[in-house]
Amino acid sequence: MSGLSNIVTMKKTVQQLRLEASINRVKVSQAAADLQQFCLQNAQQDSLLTGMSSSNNPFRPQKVCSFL
Amino acid sequence: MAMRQTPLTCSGHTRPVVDLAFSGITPYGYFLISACKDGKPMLRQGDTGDWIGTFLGHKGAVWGATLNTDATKAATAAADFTAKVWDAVSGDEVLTLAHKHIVKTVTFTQDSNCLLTAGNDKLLRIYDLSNPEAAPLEIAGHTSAIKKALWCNNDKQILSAADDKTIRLWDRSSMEEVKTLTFDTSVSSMEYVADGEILVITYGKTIAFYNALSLDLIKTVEAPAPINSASLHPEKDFFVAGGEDFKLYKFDYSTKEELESYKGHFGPVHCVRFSPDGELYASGSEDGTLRLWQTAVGKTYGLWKCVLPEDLGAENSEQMYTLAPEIKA
Repeated sequence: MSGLSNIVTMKKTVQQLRLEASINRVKVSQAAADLQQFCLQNAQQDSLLTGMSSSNNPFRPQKVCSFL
Repeated sequence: MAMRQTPLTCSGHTRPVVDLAFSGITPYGYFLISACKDGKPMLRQGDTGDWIGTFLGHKGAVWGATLNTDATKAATAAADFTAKVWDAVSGDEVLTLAHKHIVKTVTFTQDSNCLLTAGNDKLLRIYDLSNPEAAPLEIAGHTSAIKKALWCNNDKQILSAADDKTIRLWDRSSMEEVKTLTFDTSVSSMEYVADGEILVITYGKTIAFYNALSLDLIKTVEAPAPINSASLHPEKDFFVAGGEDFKLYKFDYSTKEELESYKGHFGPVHCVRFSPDGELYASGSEDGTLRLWQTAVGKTYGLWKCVLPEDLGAENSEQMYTLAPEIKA
């Protein structure tokens, strides 16, 4: 019956709205500052910034294998 | 000597930003409202540009937006033939005022009790917000669409600029026209500085300053490109202007000299306004962004921190991290 499906739809909408309302919101300037701080703190672990030895590098040119 | 400036870019709008207004200084700082053709005016923290909320309800492009002095109320003028008054704290729509055509401009009196609206119906309307059901007072006279209307002289008089190439001064109590200024070309913007009774008008490549009470010309300044909007610093040391060449120009008010120009926007600048403390100015553009620019570049204020890296010259940026990247394959 359409009445029942309406209630189901509305319940889903209410649940979605409740989820959205409970999301923790932060000011853009604060989020930008947090992002900057995270990048700076973790810069040493970032191979793109600090380089990587070729033994670890999974993208180094591969030696060709041949069947004996 | 121009120091490079990093403006704060505020995104969020999806269409051109056509109007901006700052509130006064409140215990919570000051606020900024932006009117946009996407129909969703936004309220932002004035000194950081942080988005606070969007006023939802208009069904057409919003052409004008304003805040009252203590930023508790907002008013917007839109192409859906209505002006709306909003509670700026909750974001709720408080009043919808129906008009007979596109509404272009709205402004509160200093006590926030009355609202002046005007638009393409060529009429100025004064609404009493304590009695919104009552019909507004209407002032006729302009022969084409009104672009901007402002209270002046302690809310005793009204200034209006229209596409009929005139600016008219009206007396509020008598509702009569007191004086008219006629131009050769349409006026693109008008700003009123209460302290000192100065009117800032832009038309073509000219920025003109008039006495708001007598409408006598004080001075005119020519800019390098057609100007859409200009704003005078509260201390009247400088004024800024922006227009069709996407740049923001800063001029010295007393010497009329062009001091600096800043590139940043990707489209014509439609509106510029100084903040109430004069520390920054905001510009709204066809590119859909607002940019906040510092008046005194290099000063630590809001999100700007002056950083002087040794190898680069004096430069203003939020924070700089330099590392020589070494990637070995």
